[in-house]
Amino acid sequence: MRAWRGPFGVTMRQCLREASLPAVLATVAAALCHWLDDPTLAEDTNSAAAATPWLTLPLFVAAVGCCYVAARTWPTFSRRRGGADTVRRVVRGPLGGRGAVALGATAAQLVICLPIALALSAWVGVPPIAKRHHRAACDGSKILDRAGASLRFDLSSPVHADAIQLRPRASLPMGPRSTRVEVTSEGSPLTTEPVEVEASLELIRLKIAARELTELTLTQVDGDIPLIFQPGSVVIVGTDESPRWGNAALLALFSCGTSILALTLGALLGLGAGWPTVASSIGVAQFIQWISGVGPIDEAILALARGQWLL
Amino acid sequence: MATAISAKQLTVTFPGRGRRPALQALQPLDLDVKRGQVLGVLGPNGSGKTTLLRVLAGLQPPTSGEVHVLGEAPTARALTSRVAYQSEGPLPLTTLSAPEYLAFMGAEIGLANEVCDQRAAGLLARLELEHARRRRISTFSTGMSKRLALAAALLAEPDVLLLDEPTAGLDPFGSATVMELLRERADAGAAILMASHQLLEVEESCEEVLVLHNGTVHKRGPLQDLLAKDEHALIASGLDDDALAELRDQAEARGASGVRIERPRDHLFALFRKLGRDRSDEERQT
Repeated sequence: MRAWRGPFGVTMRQCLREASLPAVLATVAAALCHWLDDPTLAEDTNSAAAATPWLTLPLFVAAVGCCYVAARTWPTFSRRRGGADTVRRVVRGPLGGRGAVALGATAAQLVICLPIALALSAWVGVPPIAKRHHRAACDGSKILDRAGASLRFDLSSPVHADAIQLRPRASLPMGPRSTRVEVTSEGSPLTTEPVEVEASLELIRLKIAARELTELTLTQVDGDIPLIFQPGSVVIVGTDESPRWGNAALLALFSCGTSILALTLGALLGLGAGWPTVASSIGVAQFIQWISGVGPIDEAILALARGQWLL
Repeated sequence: MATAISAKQLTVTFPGRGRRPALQALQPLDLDVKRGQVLGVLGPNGSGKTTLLRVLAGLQPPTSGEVHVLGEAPTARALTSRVAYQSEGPLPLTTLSAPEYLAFMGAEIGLANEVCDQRAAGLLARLELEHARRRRISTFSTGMSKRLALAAALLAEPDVLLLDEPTAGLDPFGSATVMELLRERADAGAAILMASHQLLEVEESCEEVLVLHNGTVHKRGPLQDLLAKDEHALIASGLDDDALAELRDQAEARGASGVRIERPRDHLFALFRKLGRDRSDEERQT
């Protein structure tokens, strides 16, 4: 139990003491705001969670809180801090304890975020079952712009699927007709009717009879709207079902990655900068990852809300 | 006695930056401290006391010269538990309680948890911090923080103690306790280097002093030699005024000059210590 007395344990305890309450308050605020917003989608009420922004707030508050407490508690995280000599003398090693501090902070963040993610995901209406989503890749041209043109999408391994999601980007239309696309696999059609695409980035969900897929071919039947299939615009939905709580736990785990990145940045800056610079850089690093949509956490929250298995 | 600390031609220069010129914090300095010795390091602010202690603690690399602490380079990992350093600045991790802080220090210097807890309890009691065990360090007074810093330094029962202003901000009772603990450690064979502005405490605790000035050794030697006067004192009690006058006449008749009769008095510090002892006795009886 030496780790519990050292930088890891000290930081974890301190983060739990100081960052829990703000995170809980943010959770209450987020739950309240979601209840007041009451977002619903006309076509599929199960995906209402995908329209709520309130899953992000408490997890963001917990991440920022843990990072801030860790960097402030540990005097070697920035220059010219009182008590740094004492710590530097006893905590030897190339990182001076910063690695253990970062781990302690992320461990505390996980402990705080886990119940929040579980409770809030249920509250905002995340689908109770999560399914694995596989991106299909297409080599060469990714544009369907004339009748008879086709694109082949391959999967890295066979997938037992019961649904397909298409989300192509539409280019400037060359005529009044919407484009119709036939979806086939190994020569056999997967839908009874061709799929009609009318708008750019429109999410089209196709239910198919459960079967194993290794490739997918999209063929333009007719229409005047050229369609661009960027990476991620063709997704195969597997039949494996996982519980929501597992997905929420994965989100809590992934959210810790943002803190590791922010604390690493803070520690590097702290080699030459004082506490205000380090604190601001940690805050900005977290803000960029959580709020501005850069990095995988934004996508992970959306995936959880849509019922996509995160692994 | 074996040498605990040795430095030869030690210099430290802080490089200049921009318009700020380079600063030679320590000029070539030789030092030799034996086990069991308490060496007081004196000097005005900026004379190089803290820099010397930081070099010996392995926190400041010397610019030139040789330094050995317990036969090893000051940065050697093996010295982490054998050499304790109490810095002049504030304590780190001030959101912890005193026992938590000592547990952290003990774990980092490799003490077994049981040993650490046992020693920590003893030191907290001895340094009168028992009543504050549940309080955060950030709520401690300066004196309490100093006492806790000393407890942390003594936790590993080190062979070398490097102390920067260990009694600054302490009340006389606290100072007396600290000095007692240091004396016990020295008696157990530890070498102690103590930088201080508390001259009376240095005089009472150190056999030898090193006076630094602008990074150079201004004076070094046993206190007895440095403070000795070319005079002798006769201490007597039970003499009346006539007998004293007769003694003075006899001394003058034998060629003594400037003979004076004074009534010696104790230091205020000694009075405080006596009051402290009386108070402890009373508490023990009740």
